[in-house]
Amino acid sequence: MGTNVSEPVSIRGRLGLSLFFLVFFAMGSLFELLIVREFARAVGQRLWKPAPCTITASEVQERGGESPYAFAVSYRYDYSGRQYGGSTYKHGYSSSSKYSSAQGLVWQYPVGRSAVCYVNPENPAQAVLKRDSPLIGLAALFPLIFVAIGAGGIYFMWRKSPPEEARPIASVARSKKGLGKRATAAVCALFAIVGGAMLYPLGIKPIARTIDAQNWASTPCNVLRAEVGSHSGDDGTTYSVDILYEYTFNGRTYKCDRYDFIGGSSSGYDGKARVVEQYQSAAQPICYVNPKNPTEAVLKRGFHAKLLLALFPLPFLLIGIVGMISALRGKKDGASLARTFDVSAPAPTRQDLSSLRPGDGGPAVLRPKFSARAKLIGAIIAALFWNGIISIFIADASLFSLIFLLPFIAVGVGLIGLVIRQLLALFNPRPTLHLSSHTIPLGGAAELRWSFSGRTSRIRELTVTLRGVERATYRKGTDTCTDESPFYEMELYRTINSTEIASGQVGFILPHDTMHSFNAQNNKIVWRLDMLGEIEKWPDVKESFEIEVAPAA
Amino acid sequence: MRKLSIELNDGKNVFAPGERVEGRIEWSADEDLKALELSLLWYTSGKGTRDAGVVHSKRIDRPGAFGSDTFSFTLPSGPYSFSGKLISLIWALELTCTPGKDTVRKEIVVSPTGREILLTGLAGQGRGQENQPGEFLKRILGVQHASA
Repeated sequence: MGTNVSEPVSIRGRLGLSLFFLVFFAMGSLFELLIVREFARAVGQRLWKPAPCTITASEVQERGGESPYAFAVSYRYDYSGRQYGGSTYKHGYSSSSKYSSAQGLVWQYPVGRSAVCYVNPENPAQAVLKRDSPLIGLAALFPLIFVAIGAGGIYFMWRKSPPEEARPIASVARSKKGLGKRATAAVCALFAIVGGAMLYPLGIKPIARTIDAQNWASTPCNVLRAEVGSHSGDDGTTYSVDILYEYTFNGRTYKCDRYDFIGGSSSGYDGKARVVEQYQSAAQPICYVNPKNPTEAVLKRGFHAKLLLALFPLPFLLIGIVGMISALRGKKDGASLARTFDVSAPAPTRQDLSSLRPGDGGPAVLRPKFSARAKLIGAIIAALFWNGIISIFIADASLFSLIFLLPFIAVGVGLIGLVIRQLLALFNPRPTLHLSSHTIPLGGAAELRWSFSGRTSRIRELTVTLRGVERATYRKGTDTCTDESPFYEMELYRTINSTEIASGQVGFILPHDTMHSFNAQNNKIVWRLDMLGEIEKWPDVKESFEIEVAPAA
Repeated sequence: MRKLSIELNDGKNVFAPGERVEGRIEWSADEDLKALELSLLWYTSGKGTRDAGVVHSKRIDRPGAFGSDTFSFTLPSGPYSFSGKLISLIWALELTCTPGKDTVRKEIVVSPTGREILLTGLAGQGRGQENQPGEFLKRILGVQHASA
């Protein structure tokens, strides 16, 4: 027998894990405190009094550093019969890395405009143009996950639980059915929410703007500054194309620093340096200006490889939605177990056990779990997704980055190989199997007929094998693994005769002293018919057809 | 101090699928118990994450501090008790009391062969039988009828 996975953790292991969870808990709590403090400030600001104000100065100031562009504003306001002057746009605002962000605020608050500012009633000399949003409170949910993982981990690590043999199984079995479904659905919902939330900024917005920009006006512009921006982070330094340019539209001069609609920074210096060099040497490059809002412009429009990032949230969204639906449908709970063995069936007699009888449920046409076309589509999607992401990093990667990316590139090449293999396999002859009965009892007899469509003459040798397999699914760290071990194997047929390969039949008797099909959530006994058609210098025909083997009665 | 016990009639612990499992439970405690629950269940053990299924259960509310009761459950046609390289399936009667989670379990074997099914050593046995369409089943059934 295999080992049980839930072995007790040693004291040293517990201490190590507790330290790990303690770090989670401490970091979560720290962030929680900071967010709660910000939330309290935002809620307090809601009590500040609105007062009419007039903008007296508004401009973009360059201050250097990683966020060089600051919206500098001054305004006058009256409160309780006295006049005050203010220069705070929003609590905590300092500057932006994007010129367009600061410029947008200048356009929102031009000199001379009447606006509303909010005055601290306890200190009327303190005012802001924009109050903090109490929605920051929602951010408290995020570190709460870390706090819960940390606290929960420590609790479960040290709580005294009886040995597994002494724990009641019945109550766990009952609660597991509902809890497992709900937990899976919750995880999938989280995936769907994250995918959905990322889809707009990463996917829909840049694509919509790319399409919209096709109608923007081509305008010559002057490059004021062009450099490769360098951003230090936990995962190393990333780089961005930072170009500030000036253009004239309808008689007014504007500045903008948008290079493309994806923005952001990534690894790979050389590609960005080439772009910057190109704009440094260009006399009057073309930028594209939004005629509806001339403050908006872009240097690079149209579809390009970087837009493939838009596909990134899609798998999260799809996995989330599909997983949620299948979890809530509860396909793999009690219902499937009941299907595997009939709990209301009468007791078998000793005579029954030795009888040879055909199966129940009438003849069945067997189909493979995944068709050749489905396998090809799956391989194409995987290859496109993987290689699409990798190509973004390769596009402007340095030699060092390329070396680092080699294993990822190898996986991409492997996926392309898989696509080619599945594509070739699409032209293979396809078997159709007819089994004399839908369900075969242990000790029962059945007849299998097969026929191939397509060029069967290419198959050199055909083997049909009946296999019984144990299939166990278990958790290993954060991974879910499935192991298989065959316990029964009977070669039903082997032939090199082309007529027999094209179509044939074979009868077989199942042993009576073995295990019937069993289909629980993590542990299964699977019976299947494996067809192997060997083709020279071409992918073989390899198809598995699961069959249902019932208890002897 | 709590004491729970399950006794099977005639000390029998091997059953054929569909057979009745009958016996007696006994309990004694220092205080009155809230409830007792006897379940007929199967569970898996081995490499895979544990699966379990409760087939029948009997609940006794406010059973007092001590007492006894009889039970009778009919076994379903499966799953059989088996033991393989990766998975074992074990049938058991489980008696649990509340408050607390004191539990006693009595393992039984459910198998048509009179012993746990062993999923080893079966590989490579037998071979399919060549035939004309439908001939195999006719022959098998014919043999069956003749012997009957």
